[in-house]
Parts: sequence; structure tokens; C-alpha cells
Amino acid sequence: MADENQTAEECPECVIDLSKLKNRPRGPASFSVLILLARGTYGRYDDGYSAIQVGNAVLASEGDATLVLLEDGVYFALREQDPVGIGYANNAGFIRDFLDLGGRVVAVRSALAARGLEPEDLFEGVEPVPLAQVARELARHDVAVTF
Amino acid sequence: MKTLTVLLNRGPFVSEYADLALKVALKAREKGYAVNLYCYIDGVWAPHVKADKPYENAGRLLREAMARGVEVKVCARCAESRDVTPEDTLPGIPQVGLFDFINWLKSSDQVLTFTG
Amino acid sequence: MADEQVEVRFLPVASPEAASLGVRSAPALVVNRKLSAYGQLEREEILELINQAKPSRLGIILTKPPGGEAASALGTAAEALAWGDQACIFCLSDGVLAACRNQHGPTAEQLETVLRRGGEVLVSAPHLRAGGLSPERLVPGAVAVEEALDVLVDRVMEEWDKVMVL
Repeated sequence: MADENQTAEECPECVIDLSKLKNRPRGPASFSVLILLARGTYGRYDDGYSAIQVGNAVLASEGDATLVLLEDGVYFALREQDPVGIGYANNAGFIRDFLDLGGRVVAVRSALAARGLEPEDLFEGVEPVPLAQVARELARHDVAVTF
Repeated sequence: MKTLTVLLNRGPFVSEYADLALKVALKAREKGYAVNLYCYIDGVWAPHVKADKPYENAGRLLREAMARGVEVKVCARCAESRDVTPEDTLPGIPQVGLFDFINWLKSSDQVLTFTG
Repeated sequence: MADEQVEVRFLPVASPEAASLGVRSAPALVVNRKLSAYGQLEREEILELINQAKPSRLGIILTKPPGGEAASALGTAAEALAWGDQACIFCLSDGVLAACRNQHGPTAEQLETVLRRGGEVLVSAPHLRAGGLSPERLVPGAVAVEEALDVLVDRVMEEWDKVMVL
């Protein structure tokens, strides 16, 4: 997004503040969405940012959501990310919201390995998975979107 | 009637994605399916192409898609951040919040994304 | 389903397989190695879920040239085929380049695996032509489709259970 100073309070329609939703009782989901993210770097800021907004909006709408990080998407979940120095807002809060609300984040192991990354480099709760898991996730979700 | 939702994340001309999204939407309408198109991220630039041009373009395809009943919505925040106002774009395309798209996801039989 | 083999298992929540399937509460009902439901279920619900169990027909639309995303798309299809699902790769736009023969690297290797495991590879003929490539350039087994978007929409809306685009 071009305007990184806009807060959730200024744009309640678009950026989801999930703090109030985290403690509500969660019933069975009426729909499920698989979100594939293949570009998760701050160099492609709007793709990762928009992917996690969709994920949080699905969870806020009583849906199930799984975020699959493949290829450069795995960079999205690096626990020590800090884009302040390049003038961008940090995605970490949105990722924690997603996990806290019951969203699953899975990172393809071979994509991590190819980039010299370890599972310990990722946020707690992010699951390293084999590529085979992507096929299983596709089969068990209603629809898939890509970023 | 089955419903297809198309998510467009890229703008016109720089790649084939906008044209592909619209051609798939048109083909699905031709076959009698209900079709939604959500313009997200740089996809909000597609409805900005309004004038006739002597070459194929996403604006012409979008006008045809709307005339044939494809329902089109634009992400309000993506549009706002790029200063794409409703006056800048083809008429009849609402700028909406993300939950409109989530509702389309809920009610669609299939969803296709064009991005890259 | 009457004449098909159906494997039914109940997994404890603490098992590695349950974790890989995303199980959140026990017991997990797994039919044909796919998670069908978890938690307390009525007998009728279990019977209905078993009745519904069948291989998924997965469609993977590839719009990227050979490289990481193409290899991931093809690898996902290869893994689905190994799991007993059906998988079709539909190459559109620059994705057609991934189906051309005499290439080396992960994309070519995954494509070979998909075809060896019985996956279907369809390639947009207009996009091939646009790039100056003829159907003779395709790997054996890949099929050029003249009315690409027509066939694509039919597959998406009427044949594939689930679809993803890379």
C-alpha cells in the first residue's frame, strides 16, 4: 500500500483489527480458504500485506484459513523482520493476529532450505511442511487464492 | 447457476494477467455462469482504462464483461492509496471493503487468481 | 463407492500424521488418507463422510515460465498424484514455456514426474504460437489445446473439484 501511515482505526472497512475477536468462542467454520503466497518480501510489499488481510478477513467471517508460504513467500514469516528502516509498516502484527485467531501458516520446507533458512527463523506457530502438504491443503479447502 | 469469482491483483499492460482475467470471465459468462471480478492491489488500475484505443486493452474487455453481466468491484483501500477515484474509472464499479470479496469467496463454486 | 476400496482410520490428536493434516481435536476421521472430520461425530455423520470419500480432481493453472513457481506448481501436482488424487496442469500465458522439451532443472524434472505418474498436462496453443513455438516443441505427453480458455473454463467449472493458480 502506498499509504503506510494509515491505521486500522482510520480505515475500518479495509484493515481488520482483530483484537476483539480473539477471545470469542469459535464455532465450526462455514467455509475455508487456502491462501498461497509466493512473494513475501518487503520488496513486493503489497502481495504479502494483502494476502494476510484476506486471511484475517476470512477468519473474522467465521471461515477457516490456511496461509501457504512457498518460494519467496517463506520470507513473509521471518520472526526478526523489521522494515522500519525502509519506511514500511511491519506485517508481524497481522501474522500474529492470523495465528491467534486459529489460522494456520505452513511454510514449504524445500523453499526454506533453498534460501538458507531454518524453521527456527520463523514465527512460533508456523509449520514447516513438505510440498506434498500443499496438495493436501488444496484438496481440503473450498477455494484457493494466490498472491 | 454456478459462480466463478476472479481475483485480479495486477494492472493492465505490464503483463497479460488483466487481459487473461477478463477473457476467462467473458468465457465463463458466455457459458452461462455467474461471474464476479474483484480488482485488488494493482488490479484497481484495470477500470482506469476508459478511452477507446486502436489495440486490444483491458478497458475494452472490462466494458464488454460488464455489459455481459460480470459483476465488478474494486478494493476501496487499494484504490484510495493509488488515488484511483470512482470518477477516474469506468462507471458502475463500486469501491468496496474486503468483506465484499470474502462474501464472494463464500458463495463461489470456484475462484481463480491472476497475479505474478 | 461400493466397488472401491475405502480405508478408514481414527487418528489420535498427538500423532505426527494428525499434525500434518491440521487436526485440532481428537479423534480425527481419516478416509483414504484424507482428513474428513475431527471431534465427536454421530454414526450417521461418519457413514456419510465415508460415503463421500473419493480422490480429488485437482486443477493447477500455471502462468509462470520455468523457475521456482513453475516447479512448485508441478511438484504439487506430482505429490497429489502420489497421494492418489487426479491432477491436471493447465499451462497458460508464460506457463506454456514450462512444458517445452529439452529443458533441464527442477521444473523439467517435476514435469517428467507428473507425466510419469499419469497427470494430464494441457498447454494453450495460442500462447505457444504467440511465442513462436509449435506443439512439436512440447514434451511427449503434453497436449496443445487450441480453444484454450473454452477448455479451461469447462475444466474449472465442471470437472475439477479444486483449483489453484500459480
